[in-house]
Amino acid sequence: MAKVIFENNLKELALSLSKDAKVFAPVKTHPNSTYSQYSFVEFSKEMELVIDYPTTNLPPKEFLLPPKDILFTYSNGQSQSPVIEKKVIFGLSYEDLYGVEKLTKLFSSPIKDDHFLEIKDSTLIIGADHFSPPKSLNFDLYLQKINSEIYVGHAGTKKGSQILKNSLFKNQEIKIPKVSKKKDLLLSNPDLPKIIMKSKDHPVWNDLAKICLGCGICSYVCPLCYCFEIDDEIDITKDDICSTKCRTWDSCMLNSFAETNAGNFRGELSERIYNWYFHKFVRMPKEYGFSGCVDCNRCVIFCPAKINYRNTLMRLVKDWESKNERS
Amino acid sequence: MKDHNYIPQKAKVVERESLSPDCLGLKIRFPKNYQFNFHPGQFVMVSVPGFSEVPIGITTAPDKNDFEIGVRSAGTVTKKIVSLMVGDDIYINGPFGNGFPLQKMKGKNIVIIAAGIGIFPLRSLIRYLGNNKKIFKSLTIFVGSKCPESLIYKKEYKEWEKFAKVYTTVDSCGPTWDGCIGNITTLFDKNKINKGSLMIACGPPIIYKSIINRYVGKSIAENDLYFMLERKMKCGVGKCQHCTCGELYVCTDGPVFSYDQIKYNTEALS
Repeated sequence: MAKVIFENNLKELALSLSKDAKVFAPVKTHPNSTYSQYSFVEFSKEMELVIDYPTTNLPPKEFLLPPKDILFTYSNGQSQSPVIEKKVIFGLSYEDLYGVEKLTKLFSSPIKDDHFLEIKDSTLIIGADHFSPPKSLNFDLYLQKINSEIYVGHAGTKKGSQILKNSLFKNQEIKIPKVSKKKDLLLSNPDLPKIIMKSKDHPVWNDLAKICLGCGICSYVCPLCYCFEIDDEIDITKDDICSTKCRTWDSCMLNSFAETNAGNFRGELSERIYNWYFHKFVRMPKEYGFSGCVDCNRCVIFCPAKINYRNTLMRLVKDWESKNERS
Repeated sequence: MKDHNYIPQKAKVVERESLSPDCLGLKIRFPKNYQFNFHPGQFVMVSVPGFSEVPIGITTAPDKNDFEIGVRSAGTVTKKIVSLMVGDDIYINGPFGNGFPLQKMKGKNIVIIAAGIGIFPLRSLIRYLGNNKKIFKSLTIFVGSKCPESLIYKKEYKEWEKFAKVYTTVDSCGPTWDGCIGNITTLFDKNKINKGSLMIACGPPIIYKSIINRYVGKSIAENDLYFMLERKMKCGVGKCQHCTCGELYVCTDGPVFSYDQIKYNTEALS
């Protein structure tokens, strides 16, 4: 017996969860946008839930590693940690579930980032896509789309099982199709780390630097770019010294990223572009055993210079292969 | 490695001393019962609420409850730190980083090369070796600075000379200076070092290139030559990505690297 929910009941499900926590769900927020029309927003009953969307503007990273996050506050010489509120992220795509999974691993080892993990533990992850639920993924609940009307609920945790007890889910005999995501031959190329590692002098980086604006949008919209800045903010309206230590998104594509008083260690845009790829496809696989890309395509959609990372990778792989054939 | 919550420990400035026209030494004390253990060569993140934080090397040996840091007034945060007075609060997170390879120093001839404020973290090692004279065979210290006034810790040279040979040079000077003139490589020309020595250098990357050209493949083995790298560090625990050099993190894999570790790393010695 499967736990089945009809598509037109998903909104009610999302609203039922908002009694205990803030629910963030995909909604058409930018109907005229040429980038993405959808975003995760705090869901309320006057909104229309869009569960079958191409992609959202920002990845779910915005809730787990917020663009600006208070780590702690100083007041009267004492530090105080912020209260972490309960959240639900509803309707994550298959790619974004992978993004959450990998992001959590990045902040769990080799040292545990307590603050991130506290936020993650307070967040319920509910995926929705037409693929079969991936075994290797951690989610609380996964809603597998069977046809235009029906979703089957798969619980990943006890919290997910609790949600399945909601009367919106009906027991039904149904054949659950096995739908796997096609293996991406480019991103799963086992030689990719080696190819990029040895490509520092490849002309592609200078070619990209000629068109790249170095704006960092590819990092901001990426579910797995997590580099951050830590800075203080001060509240001048208060008499006592009251400052907050904030973690904010940064991007290794920005000129100031590696700048010190002793100089800028990545002053050339071509060096920064190379580092962006190096981190995703060399450093991260070495450290964590997976690449820093879930193929969500956001960096391609949002790049003002229309740079497609797949073209870069394909060019590098092609040149590598033809070089190896010759030798 | 311990978990990290980014919350620093409150401490107090208990002494301050002007070390040069733009450098200040601060002695810092934690509250009683606070455990703070470090190795020479490690660094701490130092912050003042409202002024962000900066990575700063520890300049004393781990032999007392207090520890010292050396600060050059350069940016917003360091300018604030050098304005702190005795009794002021200062916030410390750490220690971070790997520190110097103390185990490898046993029975060795050790050469320390300090250019400019590179002496700050190396003073921690010099003091450690001074406390543990039996572990090494000989110690040679080369110190280079812009001018005699910016020779940091010069008052301590006499103490160091009890267990080390100390050679100094300045780039330029007035008529009262009767020592060596020229950049730090001048000292390499004038003073022979023993083959097979362990060499540790801290200073601007340009001197690292001179050291490599001068000693590698001749008197110093690649895995006996150590450099301290400086990078922007925001988290200290290998997360924020600011200090990466290729596959390495300066904050966790370093800041002390042997030459054979970074020889082929195109970002490390740039």
